[in-house]
Amino acid sequence: MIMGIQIIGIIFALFMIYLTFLYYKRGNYRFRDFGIWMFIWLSFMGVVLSPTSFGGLLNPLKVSRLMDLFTILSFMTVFGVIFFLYLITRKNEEKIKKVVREIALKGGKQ
Amino acid sequence: MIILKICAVIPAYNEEENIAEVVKKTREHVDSVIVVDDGSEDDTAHIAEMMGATVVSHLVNMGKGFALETGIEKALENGSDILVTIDADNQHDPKDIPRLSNILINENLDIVFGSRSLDGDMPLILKFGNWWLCKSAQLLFGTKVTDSQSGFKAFRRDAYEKLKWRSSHYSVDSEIIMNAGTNKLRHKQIPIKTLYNCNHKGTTVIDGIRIFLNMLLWRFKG
Repeated sequence: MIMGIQIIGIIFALFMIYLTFLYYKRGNYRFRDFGIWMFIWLSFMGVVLSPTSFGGLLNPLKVSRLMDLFTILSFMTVFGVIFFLYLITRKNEEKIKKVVREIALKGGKQ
Repeated sequence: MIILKICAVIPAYNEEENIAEVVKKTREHVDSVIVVDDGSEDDTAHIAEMMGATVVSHLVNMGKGFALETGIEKALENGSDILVTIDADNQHDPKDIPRLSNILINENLDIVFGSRSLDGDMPLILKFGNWWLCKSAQLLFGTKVTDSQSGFKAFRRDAYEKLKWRSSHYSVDSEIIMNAGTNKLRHKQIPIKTLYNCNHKGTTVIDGIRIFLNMLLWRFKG
C-alpha cells in the first residue's frame, strides 16, 4: 500500500515528468536531454514506490537505515548538481563578459 | 617636454540626472572623457555623448569593475598616458583632477588615490563600513590608504598591468588598493572634496560584506 510521503513523492515525480514533456514539446531541449530527465524521474518514482528493494545495499555500504542511505545519496546528488551548475554559470559569465566587451568597444549598441 | 595625455573614465549606470554636469566639469581638466554606459535604461549614454564624451555602451549591466575595465581598455586604445577614474553620481569634484595628476607626474608615482574625508557629511553607515574596510586593507595588504571605496583615482598607463582587477562589482576599488600594495606600486592619497546626494546608490551593506570576504580571499590566496 502506498502511504504518506510516498504519495507526495509520486505527485512530485508525475509533475516533473509533465514539465519535462512540456518543455521538450516546446523545443527547450533535445530528445537526448528529454530521455535523461525522464530516466531520472522514473528512477525516482521507482525508489519512492519500492524503497525496501534497496535494503540489500545497507550492509555492504555500512549504513544502518534506508532513510540514512537516501539522505546521503540525495546530498551527494544535490552537491554534485550544484557544482556542475556553478561551472556552467561561470563559463557562461565569461562568455557574456567577452561578448559585452567586444560589442561595447566596437560601438555595437545603438 | 613630453605632454602626457590625460583621459577620464566614468562608469555610469542610470545617471541621466548627473552625467551632463560630471562630463562638462571633467572635460575642463582632461584631454578626453570616456563614459562607460553600463547597460543604463535611461538616457545616460545619449546625454554623455551630447556633452562631448566618448561613450562605450554595455548591452547589459555588468557592474562597476567591469565597466571600469572596458573604459580603461578604450582609453589605452586611444593612447592615453594618465588614466583618471571618477564616479558618475557627481559626488566628486573634477576640479581635483589637476591635483591628482600633477602629484602623480611630479612625484613620479604609479597611482594617486583621492581620499574622502571621514569627518565630512558621509552617511554614518558608510563611515563605519569605510573605516572597517580600510583597517582591513591596511592590515591585510600593508597600504596606508584611508578610503578603500573611493572611485576617484589617477594612475599611469604602465601601472595598469599591475593594477588589473578581476572584480566586476564594487570590490574593484579594494582590489586596486590590494594590487597597489602587493605589487609595491608607488602610491599616495590626497584629500578630495565629496558631495553626497540623497539618492545614494553606491556600496550597500551587502556589498561591504562581500568586499571584506573578497579581501580575506585575496590575502590568503596570496
